[in-house]
Amino acid sequence: MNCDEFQEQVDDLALGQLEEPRRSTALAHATGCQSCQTLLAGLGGVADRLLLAAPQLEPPAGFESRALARMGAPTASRTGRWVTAVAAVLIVTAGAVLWWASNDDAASDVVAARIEAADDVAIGAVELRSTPTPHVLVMIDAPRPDPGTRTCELQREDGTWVPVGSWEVDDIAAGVWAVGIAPELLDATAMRIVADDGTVLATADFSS
Amino acid sequence: MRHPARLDRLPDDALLAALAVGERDAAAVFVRRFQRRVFGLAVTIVGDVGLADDIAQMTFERAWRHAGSYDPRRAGVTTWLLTITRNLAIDAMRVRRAAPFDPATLGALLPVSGGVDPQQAAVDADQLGRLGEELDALPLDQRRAVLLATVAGRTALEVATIEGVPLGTAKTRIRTGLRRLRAAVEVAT
Repeated sequence: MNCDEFQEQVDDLALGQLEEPRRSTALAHATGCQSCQTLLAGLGGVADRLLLAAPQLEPPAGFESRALARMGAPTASRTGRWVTAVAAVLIVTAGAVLWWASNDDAASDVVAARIEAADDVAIGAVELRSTPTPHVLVMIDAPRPDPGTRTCELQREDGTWVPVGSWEVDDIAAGVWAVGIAPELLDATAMRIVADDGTVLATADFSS
Repeated sequence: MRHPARLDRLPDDALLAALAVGERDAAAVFVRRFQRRVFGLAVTIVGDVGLADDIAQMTFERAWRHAGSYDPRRAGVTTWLLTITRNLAIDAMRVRRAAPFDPATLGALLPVSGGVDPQQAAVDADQLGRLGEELDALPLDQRRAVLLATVAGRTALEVATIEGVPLGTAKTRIRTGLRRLRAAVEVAT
């Protein structure tokens, strides 16, 4: 496919109307052509945002129960480990052209550790995950913390600490927070949460 | 111990993160927060309540399965979710044309007769922001074509049939409208 052929189909592609195998062919072209990729991103962004103009309608009675049943029970190992979620989520992924669907059912390599406060009390868990892109997931289930900024740092194998992101603590006691990380930090040996004044509030040891 | 009331206060992306880590209460709050939008879009595209119900369920199932791959740089959570709905609805429509399109479905969004005050066709600017303003500024025929192709999930051929114009004209209206919106949004940002 060349650029002229792509541009003949880009509207249908952006609108979700292009059928296979033409869709895959067009996407493959966009992957290797910066200008066509930019055009698709621009038109697709507009087409997607316009969906917000759709009317809102109450679904039939019992919809919530049917939808929840279809979603199934959450993974047992995660259930109940934390009580609620809060804080900004910034999963920074690599520049991918293809949609989220391309990550279908990818198995995730997970390294997990318990987060302990300074008094060795467990306050949550942290996971280093390789899919869909490398990220760290911090889950806190703890008493109401003091307000301020919390910084998450990961320790390289050489012992140096790397700040990977931070969040503001508001009036909600517990939460989940995630941020994209460099692939090499999937081999981190430890994690720590640091307060504004540099105090280490909690740590997690991935090697234990 | 769970606190669905607190979950209810979360911003959309944090709620999606809670869904991603398997919190069942998060699933309930998530469905409750978005079900009217998801079902509204589904029924707008497929024109069949039963099929729309099924598509809306599939949307939430897929969102739950793929919550971990959501990329906030690409779109807001609502837009991401509605894109899933649209794709599922369009797939379903390829298999089964549930009902002929009823222009009244979109109500004031798409005035069906000529001479209508364009303001009556204005979409909720609060939802679309700058894009909504630019949409309102489009010529009425382009606006109708763009909304039919996006919100109603219609193909260019269907837009041509609904509007009573040649296929080429429908394609041009969609193409020109989308590009004007894209240019306006890019200038604004």
